[in-house]
Amino acid sequence: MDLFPPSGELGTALGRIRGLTLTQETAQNAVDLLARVTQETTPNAFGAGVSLIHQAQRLSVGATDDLVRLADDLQYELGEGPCLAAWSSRGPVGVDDTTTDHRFPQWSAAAADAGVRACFSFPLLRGRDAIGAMKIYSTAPSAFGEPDRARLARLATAASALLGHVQTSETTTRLSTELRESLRARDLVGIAKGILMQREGLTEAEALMALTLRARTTGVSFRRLTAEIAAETADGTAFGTDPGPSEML
Amino acid sequence: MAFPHAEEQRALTYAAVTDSGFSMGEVWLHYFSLSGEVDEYEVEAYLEGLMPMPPLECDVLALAVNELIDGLPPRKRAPFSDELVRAHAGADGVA
Repeated sequence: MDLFPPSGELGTALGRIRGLTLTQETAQNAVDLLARVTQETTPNAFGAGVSLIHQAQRLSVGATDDLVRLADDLQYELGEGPCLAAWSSRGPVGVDDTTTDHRFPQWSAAAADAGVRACFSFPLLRGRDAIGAMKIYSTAPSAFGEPDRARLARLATAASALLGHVQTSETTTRLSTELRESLRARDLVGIAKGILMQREGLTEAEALMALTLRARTTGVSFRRLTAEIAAETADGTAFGTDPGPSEML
Repeated sequence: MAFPHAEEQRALTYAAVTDSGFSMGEVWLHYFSLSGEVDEYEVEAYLEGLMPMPPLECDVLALAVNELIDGLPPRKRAPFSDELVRAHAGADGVA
């Protein structure tokens, strides 16, 4: 294994520890299942899809068939479409007929060519953040009525709560900062243990015991205590500043 | 690895964790930063009473839990009447 694995890997490991994240695989499974359930409960839709989006980048996509995937891919290639609009506006967006709706001219034209006539998309909201969007597609214009829209809204609300734990790059950054901090703290404990072992002739376990005892009796945090011990030596207050060759060994 | 009162220490540590609301992951990460050697899985198993840990690791875990608890924002406290009188006098420039 790499001695210094990229923070992404450590972040993912830590994310799992903190119960914060779904792995990419689980996320993919979840969105696939969700797309299927949406389609099965919406007879007017020939297909359904779920996208997880972060900073206008699609993280994972669940689609019931190739046409849904194509209609979805087109949105990200063209940078426009109902699903992206639902995500960015954090509100529902519907296209009743791709041959007459001109809000997303490039996408509508391409989708109509592929056979998609209607689309309704609802954002996945987690607090104030949009984490993606769900959508239903039809090959017939004006296929979706109020019950279809309301059902998708309800599904999206439930899905948001469940998918909210999918790892975004933001949590990775936050976690690796936390992890670096934790490794640094652990490192300081190691240094402090080493100093006590050398200075007081203790074993590693005895040094750790001495440290925990000192933290308990003084009420000073372990982090500060160990940092102070490490700093003492750097100042040369505890050790001679000019160790002779024999001491180096 | 049964040392004296091991079970009592475990039960009370577990109670402290549950009561504080910290997640297992948060507790383990802090324990790890204090040089804890036992894996998260095993620490959780220990806390649930499924397996023992060496006494020193139990103490490092206790220290980690206590440091986390000490770092929580203190609860609101009720002021005494004379404290308020003094506080207001100070604010009015009388004291």
